[in-house]
Amino acid sequence: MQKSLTIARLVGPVLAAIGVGMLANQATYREMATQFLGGLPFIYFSGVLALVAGLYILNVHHAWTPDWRSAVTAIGWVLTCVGAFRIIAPQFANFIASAIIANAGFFTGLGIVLIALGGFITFKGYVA
Amino acid sequence: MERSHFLAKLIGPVCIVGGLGMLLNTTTYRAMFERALHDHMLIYLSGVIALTIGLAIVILHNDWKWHWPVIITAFGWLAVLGGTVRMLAPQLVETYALSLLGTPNFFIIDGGIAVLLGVLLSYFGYFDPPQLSEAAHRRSSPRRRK
Repeated sequence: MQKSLTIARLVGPVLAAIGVGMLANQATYREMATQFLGGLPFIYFSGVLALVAGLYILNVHHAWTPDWRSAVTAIGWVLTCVGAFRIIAPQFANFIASAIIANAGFFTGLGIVLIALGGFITFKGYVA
Repeated sequence: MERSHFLAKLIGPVCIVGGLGMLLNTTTYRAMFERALHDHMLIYLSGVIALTIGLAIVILHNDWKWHWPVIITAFGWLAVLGGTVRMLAPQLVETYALSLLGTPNFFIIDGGIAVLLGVLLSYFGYFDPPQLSEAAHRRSSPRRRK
């Protein structure tokens, strides 16, 4: 339980902050994402960091209990899979992400999801 | 020993995935590395991260006894050295690494070594073969008593 709380206290605020940034600064985020996707080294580099973070979470916390802790495990798996994909095939990651960010409502939708998920995990980590 | 297993579980899969990327995507990797090596800021940033990770490994795990965790210690020291050089002289890294990239089979050799190293570390980290662990423990125990 202590490990779940520690990870939740780290991951929750980060997700919520990214979500708020996406909603409040959509134009900047779109431009930033376009620049990020224009350089394969950045995709590769972010893939290494995501894979290390995902593996870390999965190795210290691999619980599929029927409560909020499963969300932390799910985040670990998402980071691991996304990181591995970015490292193995950065050009495909670029192709897919470019198509996704072309969608006008992408940052609004993802921002809301991240605020909800980050807020929930932060609440469980700090308050509940 | 517990730390060795934990670090092997982290480093092993990263080496496998990175190595597979080099073997399966040689053309993209060559273009990506050539572009990255012309960006001194990116070299510097990767140096900061490599030095931080390397120092964390070396501080937590500086085991030079002759058994499998020595791979992790060597990995940590290589990260410290690599990170330091990247931060101190990114232009030297650019010149040296670009000449390495000029070698025709660079990614095949480098990718092959990374996959082998990753498989080895993942095997020790995730499957923890008991005979090897016991043998390593027996070898290291008498020295500790001295």
